[in-house]
Amino acid sequence: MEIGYDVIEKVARLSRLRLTPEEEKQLLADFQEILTAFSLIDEAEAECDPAFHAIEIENLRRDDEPSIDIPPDEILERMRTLQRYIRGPRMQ
Amino acid sequence: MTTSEVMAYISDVTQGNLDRKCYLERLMVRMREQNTKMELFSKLHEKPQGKSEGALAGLPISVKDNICVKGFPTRAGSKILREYHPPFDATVVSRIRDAGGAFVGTTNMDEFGFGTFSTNCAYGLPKNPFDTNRSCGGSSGGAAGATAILKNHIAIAESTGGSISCPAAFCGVVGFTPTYGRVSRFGLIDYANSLDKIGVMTRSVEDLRIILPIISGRDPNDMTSQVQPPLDSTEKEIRKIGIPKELIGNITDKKILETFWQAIDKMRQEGVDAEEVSIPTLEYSIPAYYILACAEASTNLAKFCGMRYGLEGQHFDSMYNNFFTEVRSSAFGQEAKRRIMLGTFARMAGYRDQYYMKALRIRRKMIEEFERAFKGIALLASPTMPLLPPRFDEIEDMSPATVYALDFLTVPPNLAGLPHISMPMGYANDLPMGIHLIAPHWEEGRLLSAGRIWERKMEYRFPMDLEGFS
Repeated sequence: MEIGYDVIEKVARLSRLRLTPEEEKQLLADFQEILTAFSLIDEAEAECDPAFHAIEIENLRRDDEPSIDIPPDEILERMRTLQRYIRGPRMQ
Repeated sequence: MTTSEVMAYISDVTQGNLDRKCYLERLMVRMREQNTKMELFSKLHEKPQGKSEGALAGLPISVKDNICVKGFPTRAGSKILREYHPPFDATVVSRIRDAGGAFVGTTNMDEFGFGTFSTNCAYGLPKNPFDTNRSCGGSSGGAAGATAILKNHIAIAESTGGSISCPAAFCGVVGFTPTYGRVSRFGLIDYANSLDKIGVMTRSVEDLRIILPIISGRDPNDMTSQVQPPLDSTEKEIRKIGIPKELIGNITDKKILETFWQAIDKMRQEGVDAEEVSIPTLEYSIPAYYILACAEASTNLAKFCGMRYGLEGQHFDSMYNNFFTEVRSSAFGQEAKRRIMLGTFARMAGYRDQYYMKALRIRRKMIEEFERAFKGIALLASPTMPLLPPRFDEIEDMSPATVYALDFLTVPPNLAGLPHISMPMGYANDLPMGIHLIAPHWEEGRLLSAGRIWERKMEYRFPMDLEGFS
């Protein structure tokens, strides 16, 4: 399958990854080789429903009761905080 | 029933014939010495405890680095989780603690499970105890290596596409992967939710009978564990096994093939018949697996962004996209980046039907073909890996697509969620090879019965016992 740098750049952007020129070159070569190998599935006849899981899954819910699984203080101790607020980057 | 060394150890601890604290202290000294060169553990516990009672009384238990241990670094082999100390135990860890097991440390692994040789680890390069110039296999390489050098020990590992079977074969130990959903995944750092399974590595099938009932069972914290029938490990009659021609036909290593057919002859001597079967969709298992695994990984790893978990970004003045991108680009390894991007690509508009949806349909068809193959047949068999454990310099010359293709024997049962076991089947040039058995969903008992038959015919070799002091 033919893949160009434009596709690699777009996929990297969507993946929230910044690539060096060497990484871009390597990933372009890897993508071409891997997608050529993956093209084998084009010939597979599989006109059935997709299997999102290997076993049948039932939607089971826990009781809707309020509880604290992990004390918030214990979680905050493991994070960088400022005046007990979680620090994050700018939104705008 | 034979008594394994692990059973004898537990019995000695519970009966007061062995001082577990003294034993563990001496063991940890040996493990620390050994780990400086073998790098099987990403981190060793300072002072393992365990209990003097319970089904695992005082038994050393290692845990793969992607299963949460409260307050202990759990990093999934990745720099991006460098500072992560989980605030809770995974369900499997809680159950082991309750049974008296002594947690001795986390084992090295490929970053997030992305690898066949454990060469993509951020916290050391685990060496194969049979030959330290060779790979332990992956991704649970540290777990397999630890099992090969520790007599009184069980390793908790995890498989997405063969990460238990492959290293078990390369390190000459027993690797057991249960049915998808049998063991709770609560507290497992996901690679691909629909494929991940927690399993174990031991030195004998008898040891599986100790550990499986402890870690199996429903857990309200994991919906996929809720549908399982009870684990049935009573003895099963194994009359016939099937050998998929699509698997065996792609193996080129003559020594592995020869040893496999000798193994089949040994099973015949024990009254187990064998015949060739066909499962045509197996031809597509590698692309179908890698598309699904990477697609799921690309979404699972989106949460690692320099906030909340592990490594934190430094530049809070950056816009959020730049902040996340900077942390991810600096901390993820090359294979992680490759798989995240492959998965993102497979889910993109314009490619989703061609790759992701097609792979899901192939999985459905493969499961149906497996079900048909199991009519009249107890188990399926093949060698575990198509090659002997490679040297590290040989691995460096392999392209990613070449490495992915080597998983063709271990991927099918993982893709279909079927329970499977790898056991040592012989040795070539003093390196171990594995035999791989696959059972229908929830039929773990068949694997245990076949394993008992196999261990009557096969004497395993282990390169060392670190417990030489006792």
